Amino acid sequence: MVRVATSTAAVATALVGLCVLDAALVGYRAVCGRSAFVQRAVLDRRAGMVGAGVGVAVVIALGVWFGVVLAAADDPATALEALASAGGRMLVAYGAFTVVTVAALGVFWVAPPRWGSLAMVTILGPLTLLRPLILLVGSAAAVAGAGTWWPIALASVTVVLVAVAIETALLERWGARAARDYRPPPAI
Amino acid sequence: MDELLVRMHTQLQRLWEELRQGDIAVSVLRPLLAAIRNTTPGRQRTLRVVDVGSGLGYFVRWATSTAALGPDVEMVGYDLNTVLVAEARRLAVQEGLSCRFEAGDAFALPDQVDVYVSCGVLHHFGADELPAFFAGQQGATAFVHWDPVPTYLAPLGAWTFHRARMRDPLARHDGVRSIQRAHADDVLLDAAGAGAPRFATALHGLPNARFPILDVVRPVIGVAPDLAGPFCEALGPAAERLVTGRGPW
Repeated sequence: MVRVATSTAAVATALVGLCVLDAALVGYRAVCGRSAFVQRAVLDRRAGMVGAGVGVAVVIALGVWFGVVLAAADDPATALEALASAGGRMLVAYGAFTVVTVAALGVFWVAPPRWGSLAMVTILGPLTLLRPLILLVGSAAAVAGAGTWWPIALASVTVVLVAVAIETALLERWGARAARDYRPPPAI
Repeated sequence: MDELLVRMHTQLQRLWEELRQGDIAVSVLRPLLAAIRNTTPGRQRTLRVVDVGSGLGYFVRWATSTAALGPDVEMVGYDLNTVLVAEARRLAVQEGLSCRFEAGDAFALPDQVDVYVSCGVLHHFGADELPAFFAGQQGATAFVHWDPVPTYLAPLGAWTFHRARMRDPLARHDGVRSIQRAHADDVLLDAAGAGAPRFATALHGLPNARFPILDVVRPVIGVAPDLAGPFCEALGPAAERLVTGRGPW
């Protein structure tokens, strides 16, 4: 039985949280610009929830992968430590990206319109474009510091990136259909 | 082709939503309508706001949906493109909104128009065509037309936003071309003054010239001369951001 250190659990929990949050935002983006109705809150909420659901499925799939990796390792405790260390390096890149994104979303929702518009133009728009690059940077950081564990780290980040790519494609497909079929609730 | 047009305009609607153009428009229109109400006591009829080149009519539908301009305001959208008008009507009907959409020339209406508005329409006209555009609105009480500000950072901002938010290449291209075609401040003020000489004209909320990131669009405003004072009063501190052109401000 491998004992999981508190720091390892914290890294895993944070990455799981980011994965689900990112998937929720991917789901939301998947319906954006696809329905011209004004009253779209129901669709937007559903998209975020479907995205989060897909994110949970991705987390479970990745959990299976890491379970197999650990089960196949000669020294599962050391393997877990190496994976947690790689995850920690990923977390630095993704955490910074998330903090900036969440702060900009807060400004967009709460601040006066001109400042909300500014947050969209200068931060949220560019960050959407940078997301693939940030994913690669986090993955590269995870592999670069992995030492002799680099083959496993590389295989793991490849699995993660493929899973995120599949998740994005699935949600985009779902979003196109959901937005097309969406009808706003009748006005009261 | 029609499907592409509607799809592109649906994507471009994100400009309204994500740049919070509805709120920004209301911040000028609400004081303007308050000034009109105050200068016409005993008025019985509703105030009519006509959106020129309304496309899918997002602003008309949003303002109706939120009643942001008041319950005594009738919103009407006009566009020359019948496909966009039909789609705007369909969306309004499905959402149970009381606004209207018509195909045709917004400046040839038999009914009284209080305020003409538009967003992102002016740059579709050449500078030499703008005076005629403003001249068509002389029968109204006021006009407010928002258009992108062609600052040195605007092309980069437009490219980034449209690249990140639009799916179709045509919609992405449209954003960049819009900035390239956007008119300078003095061009808009001169055209409004020449085309609608009876109005007091102004721009509002010009961005900082050195670091122009806070304001993406600004309106060119024209008001009947007796409305200029009450409008400034209703704007409050925001009146300081008026850049006046012709007329008694």
